[in-house]
Amino acid sequence: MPTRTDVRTARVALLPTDSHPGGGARLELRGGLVSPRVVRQGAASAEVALIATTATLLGGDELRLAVEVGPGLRLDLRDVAGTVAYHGRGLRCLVAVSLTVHPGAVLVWAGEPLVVCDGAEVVRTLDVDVAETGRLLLRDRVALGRSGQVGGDLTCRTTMAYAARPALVEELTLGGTSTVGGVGVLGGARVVDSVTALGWRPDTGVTPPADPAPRHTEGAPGARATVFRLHEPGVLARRLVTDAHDSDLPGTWARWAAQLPSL
Amino acid sequence: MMLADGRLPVGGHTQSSGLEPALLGGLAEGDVPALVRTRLRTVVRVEAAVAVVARHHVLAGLPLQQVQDAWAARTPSEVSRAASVAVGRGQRRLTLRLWPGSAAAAALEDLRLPSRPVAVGAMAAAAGLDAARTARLVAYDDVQTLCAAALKLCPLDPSDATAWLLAAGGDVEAVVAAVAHLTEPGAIPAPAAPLLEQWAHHHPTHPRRLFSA
Repeated sequence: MPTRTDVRTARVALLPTDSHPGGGARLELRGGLVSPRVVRQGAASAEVALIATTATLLGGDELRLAVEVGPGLRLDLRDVAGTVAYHGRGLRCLVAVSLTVHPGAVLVWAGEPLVVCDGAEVVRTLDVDVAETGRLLLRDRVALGRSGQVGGDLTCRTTMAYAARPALVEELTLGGTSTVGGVGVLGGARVVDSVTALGWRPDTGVTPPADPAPRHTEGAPGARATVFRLHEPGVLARRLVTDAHDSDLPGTWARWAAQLPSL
Repeated sequence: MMLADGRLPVGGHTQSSGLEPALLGGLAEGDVPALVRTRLRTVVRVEAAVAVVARHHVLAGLPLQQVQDAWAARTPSEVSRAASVAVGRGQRRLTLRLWPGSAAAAALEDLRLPSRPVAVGAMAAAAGLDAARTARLVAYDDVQTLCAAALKLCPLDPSDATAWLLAAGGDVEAVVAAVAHLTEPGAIPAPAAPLLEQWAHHHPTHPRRLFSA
C-alpha cells in the first residue's frame, strides 16, 4: 500500500455531558486526513471547521470522517475549503463519510465541493442515519474536473435512513468513458449541487401543481434547482450546472437553514 | 407474454418510459437509442431489481412494504413515485381479479398503493415467472413502451423503433444478469441518472403532453 494512505477516521462528536444529563455538551474530536477545529462552543451546540492536513486527495488516500450529534444538541460543521482529488496515477482514492444524528439533534453541514481532477478516480460513500425527530441539513457538491478539465471518475454511493427506514439511496457514476456522455445523466453539466434536508421538510416556496414549468435547458442561467420531496420526511434540491457559481442553491441553503432552530 | 403486452388493461398506453419528458427537456431525436441505454443502466435496473425482490417476497410469504420502501428511497421524485403508483394500482387490481386467493393477491391486499415494479413482481409470482423472466419483463416492457411512444412523438419509420428494441437486447440481458439473483430489499441497486430524474419530475407541468410519464 502507498505510504500516503491514512485510514485513521477523523471524528467529530458532540455528545451530552455524562455527569449532567441535559446539562451541556462535550466535543470529541480526532484528526485524520481532515482535522476538526472548534470555532465556537455553546451549552448545547458547537460549530466546528474541517481543515485538510495534507495535500489531499492523492491516489490511494482514504479520507474517513465520522460525525455524531447527541440527543437534543446542534452541531454546525463547515469545510474551510473544497477538496481536490488529484491525478491518482492509477490509484483510486476513497472518501467515506458517516453522519449520525440522534433524536432531537440538529446537524448542519455546509459542505464545500469535492473536485475530481483529470486522472483521479474517487469513490465517495455517504452514510447518513437520522433518528426520529433528528434533523439534518447538508450541502453537497461534486464537480468533474477543475475549470477546463473533463474530470476523472467519480462514484457516489449515498445511503440515508430516517428512523431506521431507507430515505434516499443513490449511486451516481459520473465521468469516465461509459457515462460522462450518457444521455440523461448530466447533460453536459460538470457539477452536481445538492441540498438535502432529512427529518424535516423546509418550506421550499415551491407548490408543485402551481409551479410554472421550468423548461430544462440544463445549465442555462436563470434555471432553478429541482426540488424533490422524499418519501420519508425530507427534501432534496438539486441543480446540475457547468460552473459552480451558476447554481442557485446558496439561496436555497440560506432559506432552509434559517428555518432550523438555533440552540 | 400477456404481461408484456401493451394491450394489458393497466394503462400502459399512458406511459412513454420517460421519452416524452426527455424530448420536452431538449433530447435530440437521434439520441433516443442512447436514452434507452441510459435507462437500462439506471432507472430500469432499479425497477427490475424491485420486481425481482417483490416476487421473492411474495413467494417467501414476506410483506411487500419493505420492498416498496426500498423502491421509494431510490425514487426521490414525488412525481415519479406518483406516476409509478398510478400504474401499480391498475396492476394490483388486475392481479386481484386474475389470481384471487393467491399469495400475490394476499400480499397486495396489504399494500393498497404499490409502485409499478412491486405490483409487477407480485403479478410475476402469481403467473409463475422465474426471477430472470421477471427482470426481462420489466426491462423489455420499458424499451417497448418507449419505442411505441416514439412513433407518436417523433416522425419516424416504425421499423426504426423496432430496430432500437432489437439493438437493446444485449443491455436488457445485462439487466437480467445484474438483478435476477437478488432477494433482499437492501441489496437493490440504486444507479441514478440525475437529468432523467429532473425531466420526469417536471413533466406534469408541461402544457402540451400526450403521456403521463
